[in-house]
Amino acid sequence: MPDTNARRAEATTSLGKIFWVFFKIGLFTFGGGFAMLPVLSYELYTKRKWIDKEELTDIVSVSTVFPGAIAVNSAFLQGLRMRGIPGVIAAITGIITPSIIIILLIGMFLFRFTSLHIVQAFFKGAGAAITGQIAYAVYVFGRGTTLNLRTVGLTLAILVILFVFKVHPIVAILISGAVGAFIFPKENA
Amino acid sequence: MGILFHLFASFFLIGISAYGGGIATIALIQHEIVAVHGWLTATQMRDVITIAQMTPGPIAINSATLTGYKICGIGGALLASLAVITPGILLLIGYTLTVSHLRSKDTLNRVKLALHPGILALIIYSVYTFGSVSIDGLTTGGIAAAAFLAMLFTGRRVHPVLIIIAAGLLGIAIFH
Repeated sequence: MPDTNARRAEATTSLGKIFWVFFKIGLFTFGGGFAMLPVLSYELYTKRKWIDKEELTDIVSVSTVFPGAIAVNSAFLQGLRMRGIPGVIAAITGIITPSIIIILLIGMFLFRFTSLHIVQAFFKGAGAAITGQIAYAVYVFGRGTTLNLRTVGLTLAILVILFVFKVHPIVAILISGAVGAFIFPKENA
Repeated sequence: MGILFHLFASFFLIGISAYGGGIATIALIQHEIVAVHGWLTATQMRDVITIAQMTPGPIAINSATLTGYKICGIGGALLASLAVITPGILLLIGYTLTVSHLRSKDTLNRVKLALHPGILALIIYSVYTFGSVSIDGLTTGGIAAAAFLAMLFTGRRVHPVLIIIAAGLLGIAIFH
């Protein structure tokens, strides 16, 4: 188990404390995983020194390789480092609890109002803006991808499959993983 | 029981491809919830995703919680939320059990490299799937373009949620 090199101070951190710190990270993270990174960095590194800069980079980089919310994956890794499996449970419940409570409150009390004309007008504008933000995500993600003949070719091929054959979108990840493993040789990594 | 199983299976599947900050899951969420199961209409799905973007927490989990609640109440909300984080957690458990420390960078980088084209394609596809329910003319198209440019030129100085709220208020001013 990797938590053997967890430090003394960490081993004594209470589960309640872990839950609370991740609860705060979950509460103050609006707008997806990459918005969470500054908050995560502040709470775990700047404020509490639970980890050093390099460990933070490791956690984030491993979290982004695995599917699922970066926030949850980071909580898993940090919880495990600090207190093993109970730490994982404390960190993960901590980070997802705020949003689940907020969303449940919206579902129970506000979602019924979405059919009102004024709310629909709001969603129409907001939804259009989100489309623009997704387009911006294409730009950001594209910039972070090594663009060469193979990556662009594979991306285009997957797009053709998605648009022309209307396959299940998960096929994109499966094809990418399977083909990518073959066409990107080790020395490129 | 049947519907709970399908709910779990759907969000488990969504969890498998939840990469790149959640944006890449939008097309998949729409596909599973609207096209495959018909649990929500396309417009309801747009509303759910918009709320998920505007509230704290990962978009995939927020959409799962809200969709699950709409379909099966609080039990559905918790089940769908659990389902969407399960694949990542299972893989991380496998990873921590087999790789003794966080630093097998070579393998990790290879996986990342292999998956990048698929994730990029999914985000591009999400522009289309989400755009086709959110953009119905020049006005909404203009708002989308303005939001894109606002993100591009303000970088991270203006919070994305503020841009969504501003566009929503603009929507009220124009469409109401």
